[in-house]
Amino acid sequence: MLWEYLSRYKVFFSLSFCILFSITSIIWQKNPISNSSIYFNKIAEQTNYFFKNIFNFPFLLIERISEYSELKEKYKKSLEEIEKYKLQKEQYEILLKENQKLRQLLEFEPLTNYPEVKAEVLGIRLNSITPRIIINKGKKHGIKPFMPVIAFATDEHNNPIRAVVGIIAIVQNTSSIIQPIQHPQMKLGVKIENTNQWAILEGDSFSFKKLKLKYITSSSAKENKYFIDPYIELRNSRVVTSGNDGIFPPNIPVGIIIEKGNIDENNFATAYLKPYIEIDKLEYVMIIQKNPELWSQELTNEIKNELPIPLTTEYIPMELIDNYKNKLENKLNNKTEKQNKTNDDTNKNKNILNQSDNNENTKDNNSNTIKKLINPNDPFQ
Amino acid sequence: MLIEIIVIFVGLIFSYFLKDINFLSLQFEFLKTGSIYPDFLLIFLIYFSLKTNEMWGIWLGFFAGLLEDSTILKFTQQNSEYINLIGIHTLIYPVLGYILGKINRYLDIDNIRTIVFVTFLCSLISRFMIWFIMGIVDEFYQSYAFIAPSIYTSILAPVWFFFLKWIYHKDEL
Repeated sequence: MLWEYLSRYKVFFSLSFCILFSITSIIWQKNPISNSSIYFNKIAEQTNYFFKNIFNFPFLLIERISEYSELKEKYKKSLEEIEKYKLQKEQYEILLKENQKLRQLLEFEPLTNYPEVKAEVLGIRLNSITPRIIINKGKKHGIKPFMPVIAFATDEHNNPIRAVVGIIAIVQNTSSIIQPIQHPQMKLGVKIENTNQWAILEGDSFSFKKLKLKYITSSSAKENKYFIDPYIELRNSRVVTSGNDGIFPPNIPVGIIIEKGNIDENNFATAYLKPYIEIDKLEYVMIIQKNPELWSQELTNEIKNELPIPLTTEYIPMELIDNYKNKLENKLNNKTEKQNKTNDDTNKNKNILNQSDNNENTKDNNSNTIKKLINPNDPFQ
Repeated sequence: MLIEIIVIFVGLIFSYFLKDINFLSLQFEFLKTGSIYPDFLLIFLIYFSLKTNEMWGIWLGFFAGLLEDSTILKFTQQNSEYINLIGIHTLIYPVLGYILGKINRYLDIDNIRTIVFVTFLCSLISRFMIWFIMGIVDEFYQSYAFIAPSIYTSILAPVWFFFLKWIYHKDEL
């Protein structure tokens, strides 16, 4: 009876099911099907990878045969180059040690070289509403969400560089999904190398090869001796990651400015950037095993609901930083007061001079933590 | 019947694969459109919806939608994590398949003009609806193109229809 009824109105029931399923999935976004779709996607990608290999096999075979004759010459040249590099490596190590000593003397923070994992690109989806890249490395290889991803590219002078690709978004056991800088939700804190002006790179631009730079600061460049009118110098300027306690380490090339934009209502300049990475031609990427800096995690946990932008950006509005700074100061003051009280109780008979020294030290520590939190070069501050 | 279903679903996966490898993508620097890509999955859905009936259209649309949705990446601020957003293509594609399955008797699908027109219209409407729903769910993206991919998909559609007809011999199914 029920089966007859269902088969009579099967079109109606089928369509109703699809619509209900879709609406439920849109409202309840983190449903079990959404989670399992990652595996579904992985199976599809691996099938695609298999097809791709079959598809490219004849072309690869021809390419490899033609490459073989050149290999001997390349081998000889590379041996000579290796000898050169051996000498350079020794020089580099000496310089590195010297640099470390100098940094220690100047009381600078030590340089951090993060380990990297090389991964092969399994698939690049650009014609979806949200582009993404799948790679063959995952949890097993130490990959975690929000790790920065870079790849080899060439700059405007055809020099080899390592440029920004995106951020690790979803991690599975043996594969991961990258959110490229072309993703509409991507907002990346960058700076213009020549002028040190800060800006926000927006993924939601009109083309994958022409991304928008917003909120280009002009105030920082007024004191710049070399560039009186920084806006003129914007074109052909290299843009790098701003770093400074965010997701990406500083000074990783992102792209080159190709076009000037308008000045917005808040007197911030805009420009258009061509990324160094050709996203549709990526074969291999490197994942920098660097977690987001502690302060940014603390900040997002503290004021997660107030934060109008996701963690994928390094730009945080001034008001929120001020609020956080005040909260932190209050907390630290309370702590020091409590500490002082307990010290008073236990060390009543001890020397008063020592106590005042301790207070000064704790105050110094407080100001140091706040200094670390707030970047002095940030024009937004 | 089961073999038919399997063969058609292999075709669906293959169309997804062609879309995934950005097969026949074009670059028009002078038009400032960036790269444009033909939507093989949509052509596949249109072809089978027009050749069969609304029931096939709904279910092919649903599975094509699931494949497409599995690629949508969204950052959620509440949990500070990325998720796959399901439901956008699975809503649009079955409705499209149903409508095409309903009106197929009024369309001459051997006519190239009809194929181009129907594909262009379907591509444009589905892209607009996807952008619109994504806008309601998340935000209205500027980077999502409507016209250029629709034109390119509709130009390729007659060739792909011919190819699919040759492979599937749908008249015999």
